[in-house]
Amino acid sequence: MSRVMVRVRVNGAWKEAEVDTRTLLVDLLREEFMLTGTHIGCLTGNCGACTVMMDDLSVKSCTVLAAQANGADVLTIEGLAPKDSGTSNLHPIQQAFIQHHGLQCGFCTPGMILSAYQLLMRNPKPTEEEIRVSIAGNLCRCTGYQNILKAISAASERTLQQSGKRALRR
Amino acid sequence: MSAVQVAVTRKQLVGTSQKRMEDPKFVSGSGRYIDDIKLPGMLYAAFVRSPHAHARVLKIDASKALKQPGVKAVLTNDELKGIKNMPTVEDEPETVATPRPVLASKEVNYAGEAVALLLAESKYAAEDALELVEVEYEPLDPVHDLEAAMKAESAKVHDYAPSNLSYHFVYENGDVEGAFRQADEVVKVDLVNQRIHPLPLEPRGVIASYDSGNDLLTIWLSTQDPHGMRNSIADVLNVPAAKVRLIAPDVGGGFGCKGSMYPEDVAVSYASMHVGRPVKWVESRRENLLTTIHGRGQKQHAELAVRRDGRILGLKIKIVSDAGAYTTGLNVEIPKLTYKMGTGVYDIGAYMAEIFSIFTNEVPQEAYRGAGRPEAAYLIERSMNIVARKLRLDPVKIRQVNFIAKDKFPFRTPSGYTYDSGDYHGNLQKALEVSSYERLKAEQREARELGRLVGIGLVTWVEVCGFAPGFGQTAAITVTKTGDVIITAGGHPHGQGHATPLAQIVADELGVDLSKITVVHGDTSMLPWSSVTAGSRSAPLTGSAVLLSARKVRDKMSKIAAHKLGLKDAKLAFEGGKIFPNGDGGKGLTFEKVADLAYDGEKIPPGMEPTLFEYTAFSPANYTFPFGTHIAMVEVEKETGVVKILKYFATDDCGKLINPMVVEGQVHGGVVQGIGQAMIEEIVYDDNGQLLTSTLADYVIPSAESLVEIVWNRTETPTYANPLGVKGIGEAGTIAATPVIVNAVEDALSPYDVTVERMPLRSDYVRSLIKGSG
Repeated sequence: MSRVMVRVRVNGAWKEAEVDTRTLLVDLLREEFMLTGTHIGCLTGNCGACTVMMDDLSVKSCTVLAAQANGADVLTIEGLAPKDSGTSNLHPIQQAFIQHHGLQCGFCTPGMILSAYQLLMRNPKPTEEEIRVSIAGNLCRCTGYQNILKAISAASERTLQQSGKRALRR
Repeated sequence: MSAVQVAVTRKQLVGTSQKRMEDPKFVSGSGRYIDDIKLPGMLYAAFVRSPHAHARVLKIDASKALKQPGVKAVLTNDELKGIKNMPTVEDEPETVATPRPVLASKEVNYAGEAVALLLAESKYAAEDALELVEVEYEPLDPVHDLEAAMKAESAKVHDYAPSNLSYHFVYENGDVEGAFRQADEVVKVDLVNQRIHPLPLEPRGVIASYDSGNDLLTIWLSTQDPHGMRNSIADVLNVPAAKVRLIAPDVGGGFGCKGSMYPEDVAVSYASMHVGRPVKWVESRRENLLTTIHGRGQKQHAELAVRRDGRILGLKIKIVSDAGAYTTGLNVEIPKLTYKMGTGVYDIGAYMAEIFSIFTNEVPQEAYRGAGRPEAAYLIERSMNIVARKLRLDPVKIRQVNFIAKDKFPFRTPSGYTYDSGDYHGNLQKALEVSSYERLKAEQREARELGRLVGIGLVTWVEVCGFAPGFGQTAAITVTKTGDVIITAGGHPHGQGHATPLAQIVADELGVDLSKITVVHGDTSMLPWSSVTAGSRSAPLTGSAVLLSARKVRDKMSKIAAHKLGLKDAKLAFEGGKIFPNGDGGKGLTFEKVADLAYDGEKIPPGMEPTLFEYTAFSPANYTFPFGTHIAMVEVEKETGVVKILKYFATDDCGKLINPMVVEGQVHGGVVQGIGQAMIEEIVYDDNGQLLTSTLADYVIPSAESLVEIVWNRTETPTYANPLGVKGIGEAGTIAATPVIVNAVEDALSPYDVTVERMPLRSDYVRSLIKGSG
């Protein structure tokens, strides 16, 4: 099995690892960088639990090879709020998920939040329909999505009241 | 009785929507699920699985796999020394027991059944080597279709059994023949309740680590049932339960399927003891669909003896349940829950039920959210609709005519349950009001005049939960010397959010802030026992155990405070972190001070034991029977058969509420799972027993698209079955939503006078109903 050196900017810091060429980005994040907030739900690109941001695009990290992420800027759930910040400094989307009970078992939540992050970066004031479509690739088996929609909508309103995209940007 | 009376706390947190304590970790990616745990020296397991639904295993040759780099061992059943078979029924002569080795050794009975376990240094290496394990099979005829399986000439799943019948059960109560003689009409109903998958977003997983020095096996398992699994795995491994500690980490959903023990749990545990290193296995989604239990899977028949005014005089039901490949115990009990809840919310005097449980070469069927009760509600609520249509009665009217009256509770059902409490008329009335039912009907009439196929469905559901006498749950409360409160809860959540409601109960009793309370659960070393988190029992059972433990702590702290203050017969209040005589906050002590005193044997009343730790095991006097009314409006597109949900109203009664936000969340999720069964979900095997729905592209669950807002309301009828007056809400939505959607679609199709006999209501099936009606 041939090996490859990958260098990725993860949550603002450059990290590198030597991995099998076939290694998936999700395994690089979880197994090499110990960022276990990105979850594996299917490995076929259907469930969205492994969603991360890669160069400002949300990707399902089970459908990306680690080698393809070489040189890329990757944002995972762990990078959305500063590690030492406590609950009050959580990202507005994270806070809205808590406020509106947008999660139950929490397994889909990191991927769901990153899909919401991409949506709000591109479309700060989405309609309900636009939210529904934007998270259609993220499956949740617990919540029935209703409170997730509420949370994303509330996060949108809150950040608009503040300084728009700057409030969202990490 | 103590000299010091306990006063009632005034500021109540119970009944209010408090944010969940565990959410900050989950939204920031700090949850710790089974796959997030990595132990030093850990090996990775992978399972060699049968490609055949039914075959003899002739030979397993692992020699090539063992030469692969990184491969440590391959274990077949022959190498699992000294262990027992998987559990089946014992001492039940009317049921066929099925000896089932942990790893199939002579015969495989469903596609995906594990025949060998392979251990390697990485998960990639383990999966690479799997295909090098050569297994020689002699294929046998697979049993797939339930009706065919019941015929004498059918191939058999187990050649030692007389037929494919796992068990046959008949029950009769009341004058059934008389009821059918008196009836104006007999209505017959045939339905298929299809096989579906619980599908938690996190698949199953297990890690085992054997400490030979202490002869202690620690198992981390993604489970709903830490104590039950500890006992079951120890039993099959033939080791004392005391030598096994089971820890359930954060669990990413279960919905019933993580309440069972699986062969992999035992094999991985054995492997760790065998090689002396930690071993991990996490299921792939394909394995999850192929080998984790399925649910529902019944062919249902009902005959209703009906009077012209809609009164049901008698009911006969026949259930043909798909057991899957083995008798597991749970798959004996679940169809019986269907019969036990068969008469629903109706006062039906004469009742007969018959169950045939049939072996097939498919994964065993066990508990999926509701487990037997959704099937019961589906049969009776679909039947009521079909009867109403025959008699040209409104679906509301036929229910009102047959409801168990409010003054008849506690109500003894013909199947032997005692319904604790209910107000079915009142709940239905509220549902009609909040949904503006008459206006919905007017909208429907207008739509129909325009040629649109708009339908309204209605369901009045009831279920049994709070399991119950014989299935106790436990809790302990520790108040540390520093005055911090620890709740050790027996019930382990898999998404429900137990921590906050339990903390609310304690905060009210002890007058402390939620931030002072820590909730821990999911480790068998903490408590002697607790039953599985299933059957909507955590609030009624663990909740009550927490409440009663808190009252014991309060009683003891009252006595200590009174002793210190030199009071006798004083009523002490617990409020705002203080303990003080009623009406005199100035004379009190802080909660921390009393906690500190409690640990000093010289400062507490003579004869009292120091420390603050109280434990309660709570077994209720009865089950609970929550109920409710769901109403849905749908539209069917005539040309394509596509079903669109327009409106959804859920009005439930789960007794008292601890945290309404959590309760409503349970309803949302349950409803969407129920919609999933009605509209899109279906496990499909081909005639050879090969699973066709083995990825999430083939087994489709609802996504955020194409759903509507669920408008939730409630009525409140407390239960006497536990001191909190709560009934449980975990399964309600799933139970009600499936029949309400089908009833609505059947109503939409009423111009064609068709009966919807099966699910899911995919467009091709709905279109065929429209076309087939000519």
